[in-house]
Amino acid sequence: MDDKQIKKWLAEGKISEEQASMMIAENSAAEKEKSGNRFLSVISVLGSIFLGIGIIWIIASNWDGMPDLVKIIVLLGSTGGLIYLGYEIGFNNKNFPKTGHSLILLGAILFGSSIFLIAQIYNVEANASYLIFLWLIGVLPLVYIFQSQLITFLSCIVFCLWFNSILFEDFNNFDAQGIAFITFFYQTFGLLLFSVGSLHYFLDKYAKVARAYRLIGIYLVICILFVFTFQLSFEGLEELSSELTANPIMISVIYGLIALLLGINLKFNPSKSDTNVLENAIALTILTIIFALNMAIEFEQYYTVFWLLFNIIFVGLIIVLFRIGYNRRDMKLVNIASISTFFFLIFKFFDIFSNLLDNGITWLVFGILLLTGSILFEKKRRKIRDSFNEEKAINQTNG
Amino acid sequence: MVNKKFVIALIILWGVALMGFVVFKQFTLQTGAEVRLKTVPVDPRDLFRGDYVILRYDINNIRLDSILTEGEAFKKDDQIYLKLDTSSKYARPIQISKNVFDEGIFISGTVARSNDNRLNVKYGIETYFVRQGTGKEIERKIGKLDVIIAVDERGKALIKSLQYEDEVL
Repeated sequence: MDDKQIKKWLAEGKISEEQASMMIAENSAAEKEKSGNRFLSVISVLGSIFLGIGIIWIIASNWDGMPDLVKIIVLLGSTGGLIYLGYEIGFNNKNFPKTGHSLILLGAILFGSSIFLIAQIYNVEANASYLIFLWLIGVLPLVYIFQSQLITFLSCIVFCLWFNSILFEDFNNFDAQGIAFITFFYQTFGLLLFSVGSLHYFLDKYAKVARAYRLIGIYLVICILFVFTFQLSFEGLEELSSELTANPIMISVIYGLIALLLGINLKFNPSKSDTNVLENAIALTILTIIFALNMAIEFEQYYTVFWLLFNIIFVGLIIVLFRIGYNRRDMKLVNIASISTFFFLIFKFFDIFSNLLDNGITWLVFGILLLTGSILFEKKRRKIRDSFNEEKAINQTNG
Repeated sequence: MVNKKFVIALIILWGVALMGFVVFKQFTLQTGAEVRLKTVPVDPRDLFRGDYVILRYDINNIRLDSILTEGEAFKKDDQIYLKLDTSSKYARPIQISKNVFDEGIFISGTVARSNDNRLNVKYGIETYFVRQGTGKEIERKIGKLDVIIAVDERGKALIKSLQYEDEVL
């Protein structure tokens, strides 16, 4: 609870002056402790980054003069050493959990660097996809051993890097076709992450991993849906038909698998969430629309229908995110929904009034709308956040 | 609670994976047959990227009517085996197949492009990492450089060295 709330209770006579001053003193101590922790975590991450830069710098600057065997031993030693040190101080002794997490993240990044540096010794192409795959295989167990959200994020990034490297091998030039293909991939990957992430709730200890997967999934899905809310994104999409419909069985299997996973989540509700039906229903709807677009990609005449559907589903998703965020008192979801709404409105304004942009008044109106909108949005967002905090404080006091 | 055994097992596994990679590559270098390939000039704008140079060889571009084939059709992403004649100073292609050859020296590659009776094939030996600051010097010599590769009995190739006028660079 914040000081404002305490003073309100004091004015209403709910608590005595003595209780109020004790609560305010406690608040101040907690705030100091919290800022100390925040400071410590920033220092830990910075320290780990400097340590990593130091190791890589020493290796890089002596690389040419170092015998190959020494290079490999130094890389292996530093990688293994960082992971073990991270475990000891962050998880075994639990003296510095934040530093422990940072060191493990650094170890995982250094493992990737080691793969590429060793490959370099043997003149293996730097963007060879199997090297990134090896990194991914190495990082994934870390997610489950340490249940770290940071490593979960890293594993998703590495997965995307791996996919991009395959795509770069296939597309000689990273052209519009490549971009369109990658857009489809990230949409599907987002939904897959969301559905796989939800399954992790079956085991309580993986709740953090589940949340990280689901959040990344939501970020990806919302970003790509946003792209498809503009007619411009559909231009030249029919050229992609040969790539996407080349293997309809594989595409059907992938979409079928995601639908199955969402179905399992819908029926068994591993997250024990009271908005479970809503969450999985919207994910299934998005999946169906994307699958339909995949299958109908060569029929240009339907693009307007899809464009409309994407706009409707995007607005629908924002409303669902607001609803779930509010229900669960989850500020992160409310923030995602607020930011998405804001960007959606700005870009739609540009999209609709693009032919009036050479007019000074349009810019004036746009500026006023933008300023007013951002102030109103922020005010509303803060109000929601404060109400969540207030409720949390009341629950803590009662509990 | 994080299980210490899992942490140690993972570190060991990482070590084994990286060392396995090293052993695998060393095996090719140590036991593979030495083959000398001549580099061909390439578009200089794309040649030197960061700390590695791009190498191109005669065997990257194969005319199917100039070598022996088994009548197979080749398409993009096909794995191929190219039999080499190493009796002269530079190796030259003599036969192409989708199947491993029983004898002789051959190199394995992947079809990058297929056009009528021409194939563009990559062998994984098109990149050479250089010491910092030496890239431009090597770039000037491309087309006159010899590359010594090691090819193992499965056709996997690795660059052993770069030579200019018979001197190792």
